[in-house]
Order: sequence, then structure tokens, then C-alpha cells
Amino acid sequence: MRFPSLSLAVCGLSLALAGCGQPPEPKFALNAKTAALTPPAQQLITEALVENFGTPNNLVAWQELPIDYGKGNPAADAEHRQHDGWRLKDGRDLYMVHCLHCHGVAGDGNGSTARFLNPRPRDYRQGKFKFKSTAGGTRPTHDDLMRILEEGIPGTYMPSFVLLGKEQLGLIVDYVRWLSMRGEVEEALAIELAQVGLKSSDLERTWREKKAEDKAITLDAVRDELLAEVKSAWTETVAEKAKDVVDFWNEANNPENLVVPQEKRTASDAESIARGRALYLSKENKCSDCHGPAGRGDGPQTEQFAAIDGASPARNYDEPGLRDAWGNVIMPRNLTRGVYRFGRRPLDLYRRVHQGINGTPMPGFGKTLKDEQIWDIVNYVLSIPYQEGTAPAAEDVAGGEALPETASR
Amino acid sequence: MNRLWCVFFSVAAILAVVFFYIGPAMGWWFPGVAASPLGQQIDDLFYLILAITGVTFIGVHLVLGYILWRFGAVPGKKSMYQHGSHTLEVVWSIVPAGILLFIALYQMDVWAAYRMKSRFDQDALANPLAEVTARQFEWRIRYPAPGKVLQETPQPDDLYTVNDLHAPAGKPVVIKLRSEDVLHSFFLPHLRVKQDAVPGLVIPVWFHANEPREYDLVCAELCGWGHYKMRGQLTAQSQGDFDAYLKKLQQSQNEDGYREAAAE
Amino acid sequence: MSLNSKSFWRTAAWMGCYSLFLAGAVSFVLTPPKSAEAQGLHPVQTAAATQVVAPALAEAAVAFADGGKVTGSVTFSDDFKALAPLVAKGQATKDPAVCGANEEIANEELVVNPENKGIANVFVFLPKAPSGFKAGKPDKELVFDQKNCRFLPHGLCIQAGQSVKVLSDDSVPHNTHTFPLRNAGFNQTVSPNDRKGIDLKYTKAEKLPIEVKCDFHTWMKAYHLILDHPFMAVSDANGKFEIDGLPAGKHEFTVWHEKKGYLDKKLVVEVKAGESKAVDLKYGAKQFATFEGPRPKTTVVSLTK
Repeated sequence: MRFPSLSLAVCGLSLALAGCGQPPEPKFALNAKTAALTPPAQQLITEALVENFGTPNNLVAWQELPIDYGKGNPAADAEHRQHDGWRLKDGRDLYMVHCLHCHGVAGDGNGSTARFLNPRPRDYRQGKFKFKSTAGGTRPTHDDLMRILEEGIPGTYMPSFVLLGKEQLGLIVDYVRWLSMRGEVEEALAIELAQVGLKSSDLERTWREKKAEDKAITLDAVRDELLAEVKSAWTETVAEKAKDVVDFWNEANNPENLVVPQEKRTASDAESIARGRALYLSKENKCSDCHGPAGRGDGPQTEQFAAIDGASPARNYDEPGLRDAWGNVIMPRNLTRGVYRFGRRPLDLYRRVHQGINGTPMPGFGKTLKDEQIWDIVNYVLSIPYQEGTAPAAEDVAGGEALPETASR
Repeated sequence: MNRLWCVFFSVAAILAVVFFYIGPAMGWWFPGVAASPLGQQIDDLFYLILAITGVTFIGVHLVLGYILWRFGAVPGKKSMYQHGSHTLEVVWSIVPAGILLFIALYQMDVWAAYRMKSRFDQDALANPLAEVTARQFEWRIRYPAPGKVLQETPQPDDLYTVNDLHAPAGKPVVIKLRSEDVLHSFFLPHLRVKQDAVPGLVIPVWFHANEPREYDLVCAELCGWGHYKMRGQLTAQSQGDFDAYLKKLQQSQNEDGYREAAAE
Repeated sequence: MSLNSKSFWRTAAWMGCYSLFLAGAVSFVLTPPKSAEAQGLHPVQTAAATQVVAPALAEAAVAFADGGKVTGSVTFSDDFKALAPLVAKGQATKDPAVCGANEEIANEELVVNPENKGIANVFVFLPKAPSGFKAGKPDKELVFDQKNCRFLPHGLCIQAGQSVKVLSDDSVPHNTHTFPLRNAGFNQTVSPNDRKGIDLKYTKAEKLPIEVKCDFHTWMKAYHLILDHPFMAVSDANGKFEIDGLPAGKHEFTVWHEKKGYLDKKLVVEVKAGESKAVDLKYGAKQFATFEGPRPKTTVVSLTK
């Protein structure tokens, strides 16, 4: 070892430099449905998406979509605000700083911190948002999404970003809507191609069936035949799916879809609460089936096995419990805690009861209950955390036994 | 070579003086002038300690530098052996002990004013402004309804908000600090207020914002991956504005959405 | 300098420190703050609006006068053993006093009539409206009922815009939860013994039949086919179906069943004006073999993948 210090220096230098270099380029992750397709079909979809939405570093502001991308202002201070589309870019930058690590690059709820969280961060790609002011299956309004950012979602890891200010929050909301639209287009295209038969597993099965008649036929031939069919109408397909998505989001702004009570809230006195409780426990509404007779979210429905959506042959999940649209076990809300995920205003609870919660098994009762009855239920629900021993008497619960008196908190 | 080291140590002392002088003037360490009376007292304590330790530091380094220069090893010269000086040892134990004792006694009053419940403003303690619950990664705030006293357990008419704590400026207010999950710390840097939020405890914390403006509220105890962004805001307002704010909060929280024209 | 001497190690330690410091400085210099381009702030390209092809509105009459008819039957060509019931009599896990109390709830995944081997609930439809067809507003109101905790009918053909009334003949509440792709989802409860019913509306055509479930009674399932024309039918308990009012010419029908999916993607039938064409479809056990590959097919996106 003639020059030990020199070799030490070289080692030190190489160690230090090992961490340098460009990070890998961020990519929009593929939907699981897209990933299940055969690779050429996946490519069709990826190309369509890159053409119309771009990549995270190279966004494309597709004019079809109902998003304000921002018009370039030549007099603006910041250089990039002088170009069109600056709102989308700013939204993306803010999203990458604040939202990416939970919600993922593509808004798939699979960011790096996501696996430590329960409930998981929202996967926007189906366009299913749980908490909103619009009717059942409709999309949320811009204000709904702003509200979530401003208030956070108590009881979950979604914090409040109110300190960012309304302008920045507006940019994030538009970027999230954009991500959701992108995801919905991808999902619709993937389902379309799966229905044509381009899923890898389906393709193999079709090929095996065809081989029984024609031994020489190859998998590629079967696939190419299906692909040719698809490709001939591909532009129209993409346009049609995009139009569907655009229609969905425009519907959200339709005032008819906004859920607004038609009656003023009844005063929250003992009678209203008693009526609400009777409705809650009644056989017609069976709120207690999921939410439990004492409102603890432990009703008998939580022990049922839910059916897997679209499984054939029909199968149930292995674990009992209710499932949300993303396949995760979801517990009915424990109403004794006083934690309400999308607002504790009477209006918010009215909306939950009237329209249900999209993407969950919580149904809407708007068509079976009158507004006064819904207000009674709302009053009762708001009172549950403050009542000691809300366990009902035996005759209240249909077919049940009286539960022991327990504190509600 | 030794002369080089002695210059090195002396330069350190000179640099220290320069930084100590420039630092506060440039706002490098403090977020400006303290915005509360207690904060001002804490700042004064800080400067006192800075002065004492600064003088000591500079003095010690100058002496060190001199000794290195004057008594550095000379090739061929044998160093003198010395037993040590008992008197010197005693002196430089007692004097620092005395200084420390002085500091300890001098600051007791400020500590008591900040931490002892009996020294809190009793009105503020009897009528806490709000209960602030730290949770990963935000600050959840529960006010009592206007005119009511904050209870330990949530009441049906309590008002809830998140991250933006409003308080009347110009008078001491007390908040009850809790944590929903892990350790956090309620830190108002401009007001020099810091208190750990310990799960299981309800800790009264008082502060007095001088001026009606917005102050940062940050978490000062590592609480998880989101600790770095666990920020809130203290909005100090005039009493009138604060009352109006609470009323507005109460109204929006009782919103039932019913409108004559059925449009929101 | 030998490896053992103290001065060697001392110098080595100092050189190590200096080189690390140097390395840090060099790496800092070598990776300057990225330019706006490199940071990914590429200008946003705006794609021109794609031309959405609006469906051509025909000037022809609403229905085809003198239309042809296709009647048919779907039969199972092999021996059939009835599937095990979803809920044996009296064994319902939910609301046993009503669901399956007096009779079992059969598994309707594949229903074959034991007498004539007719397969029920097979959807036969034209994937696209025939050229020259203009959809009018369908005036017939459809009924979607539920009794004994079963949806009746199991397969329902609905024209977009047609009004569907969801009724209940059970003394327990149900909820009707639909899972459409192009329409807004519907999830509303139906009161017990509600004979007036609640309205279910579909505004757009779906490509294939969609599932309808009840969250309270997890075995309940039905399928709705929504198209923007009326040329569709679902086979009844005897496997018989009928589609009327078709224009003359060759038509390509899709034959779909819930267990298999596509039984036939291109069933070509030639229809003559004013005449009735009979079609006999035979499918065997092989055609109904389940989709199972290594994993059963689901449409749920799992986040644990």
C-alpha cells in the first residue's frame, strides 16, 4: 500500500458521488385492469393516454375536458404563467409536493406512504368520490373537493390544507379532477378491451378453444384479429369514452343534482330524537343492521360475507364484512364517536342519509323517507355521542335481545 | 505548525464574536422581536446567557491562543513540569458554579410565570379559549359555544375547526392541549411558546399575542412522516372580530342547507 | 511509513475527512440546481379538441313499419344438474324470517328448465341500433320487483330513457345498488312492501348487461341490459325470446349470458320484412365452462397488488 491516503480519498469520493445522478422519471402507473390486458392492447391504451394526457413531466391539456387550464398572460411575472396551461402545471407541482406521497403519481392511492395508512388514500381513477353534495352516482362539484382540502377528513389521514389558501387549493382541485378524468378514460378503455376479449387470460382461453378446431392457429393470430377489429374504430372509441367522462363531470354542476333539503331542519328536541331513534331501529330502514343498535358500527351486516363484484362463478370474499368499491373492508361508521368524515353540519348528515355514500354500501334513503323523517334521524345521530347508554330496549330491536347498558363514549 | 493551530483557534474566537454580533441584528436566529410579553422576557434571558457565555468563550479562546503562541514546543527545549495550581482549580470551579447558580435563580420567575398554574391569568384559566388536539398531522380545535365555558368532554354545541386557531389579541388566553395519537408539540415560535402534547394528558398552555396578526403554529416533536408539514396558524384578532368569527363558525356548523329558493 | 505507525493512521484519518469533504463539495458542484426544463416544468401542450362523432340522427320513422321478427329458443344440449341453491329453505344468514322462509332461493347463475332444457336469462341483442333507426321515447314502464329476497326478473332489458319502477314485495327493506359504466350509479333503499316503487333511470346505453345487487342480502343479483334501441330480449323460463320490429336484412346479434359472457359475438340472422324468423340456439356444458384461469375474474381493483 504505497499511497494509502490516495486510495482512501478515492473511496471517499466514490461513496459520496454514488448518490448523485438524475432521479428516475415519474410515470403514471397503469390501472390493474389495463395491466391484465395483453401487451399490444396495453400499448394501444398507453398511446391514447399519452397523446391526450401526456406524462407527469409533459402534461397535455386536452381541451375536451371541462377544466380551466389557465390562459397565458404575457404580462405575468412568472415565466411559465405566460403560457397556456399554467394552471395545470402549477396544480401538478402542488400535487407533487403535498399529495403525491399518499395518493400516488396517477392518483391511484398507492403512494409511498399509502401502505401504512388505514383507511387507504383515495384512488381517484374510477371517478368515485365518497363525500360530496351531489346525488348518488354523480361526480363531486369543485366546491366539494375544495371543502375536503380545507377541512381534511377527520378520522382519516387526510389533513387539512386550509393554510395553502384558496387559490392554490383551486389549482390542486383542478389537477385532481384532471387525474380522475384520466383514470376514468383509462378504466373505460381497459374495460372495453377486456370485454372484446383482450385480457391475457381470456385470450389464452379463446386460443385454446379455437385450437380444438384449427390446430395451426397461433395465439398471436387470435389476438391480432381482435386487435384489428378494435383498431379500426379506436379513435371513435377513445372519443366516446372521453365524452362519457366529460358528461359525468358536467352533470355534477347540474343544479338538479345538488342535494338540498326541501324542509327546514326540525328542532333537535327530545321528541325529534326519539322519533329519529325509532326510525333508526325500525324494520323498514334497518340502520342498526350495519351501524349497530347502539350506533357502534357493529351491526349484524358486518358479519355477512360480501359478494365479489363481477366474479364468475359468483363468489364471496373470504373475510366477512362490508366492502367498498375498491375492494377494501369498510366498517360502518361508529356514530358514538362524534367523528363525521365529511362535515358535522346537519346539512352534511342530511346528505349522507338522503343519498348514501358513493362507492360504499351505504344506501340513500331519499326515496323512501320524507325530509322530516331524515331530519329526525339526523338529530338522533348527532345526539348519540352525548347520550349515556343508548342501547335500545328489547322490543325496539326487531327480533333482537336487549343489549347490556353501556356508556356510549 | 503550532502557531498555525493557535491562529486557527483565535480565528474561531474572532468569527464567533462577529456572528454573535451580527446574528440577532440580521434576524438569523430569532423570528423577529417576540410578539408576546413573556416572549420578550424569554428573549431577554437568552441575551443575558448569550452575553455571559459569549464573554467566557471569547476570553477562554484568547487565553488559549496566547498560551499556544507563547508556550509552544521548541525543538531541543525541554518543557517545564508543573504540579498544577490548587487555587486555580478552586477558582475556576467556584466562579462558573456561581454564574450558573445566578442564571438558575434569575430565570426562575420567568419559568414560573410560564409553567405554574397558580401564576396563570386565572380568568383565562377558568375560561379556556379552546381545546387543541394534536393529531397526525394537523391541529384539531374545539371551541365552546359563544357564552359557554369549555367542558372537558365535547358538548353538542361545541364548535370545531382545524389548523386555524383564532384567539383574541392583547390578553392572555389558555388552551387545553391534548394529543390524539402520539407526542406532538405545540410551538408558537413568534410567541416563544412551546409545550409537548402528551397522549393521555390535558395540558393547559397560556399565551398572550401582542398584535392582531397571523402567527405560525408548528409541531416541534417528531410525530411521524408528516411531522415536517404539521403546520397551523394562530390568528390573533381584536375581541370584536374574534366574537364575530365564533358566531360565524357557529352558524356554518348548524347549517341545514334549507333555502327558500333551494339553491346553495 | 509503515501500517503500524501512529502517524500513518493519523494522517490517514485526516485525509479521509478531507476527501469526504472534498467529495461532498465536488458532488454539489457537479449537480447544480436543475434548470426549469430538467425539473419537469415542460410547457403544457394543449391538445386540439378531438372531434366527437355525434351519432347520425336518421330521419326515418321511429319504428320500422312492417318490421321482421326474430323468435328463438336457447337450449342446453347436455345433461344438466341444477346448481346448489344460494339459500336453502330457512337457512338465510340475513332476515331468515322472510328470505328463503317458505322456499329456497335458487342459484340463478345458470337456469335450465328440466322439461325442455331451455336456458333462461340469456340476453340476445343488437350491439348497435340498425342504420336508419331513430329512438323514440319508450312509453312502457318496466317493473323491477323483489320477492323472497330475489330480484324479479333476473334479467331485464331496458331502453335508455325508459322508466323503471323498483318495487318490493318483501316485508324487509332492500337496497338496489347498480354498477353501470356509462350511467350514474344508483344506490337507494326500497321500503318493505313498497308497491308504488321508486324510479330508476338510465340515460345512456351500456355495452353489456350490468350487475344489480342488494347490499343487505348479499346473494341477490340481477342484470340490466340498457341499450338505446329496443332490439333486445332476454330468454324466459322456457328459453324462449322474441325481438320484433326489425328492419329487413342481415343483423348481427350478440348472445350473452352471465355465467359465460359472450356465448356468441356475431349471430347472423337474416330478417325479411313482415316475416318471423326462428332461431334455435344450442349450447352445451363446454360453452358454459367458467372463466377461471389461475384466478377468478373480478372487476375490483385491488390496491394490494
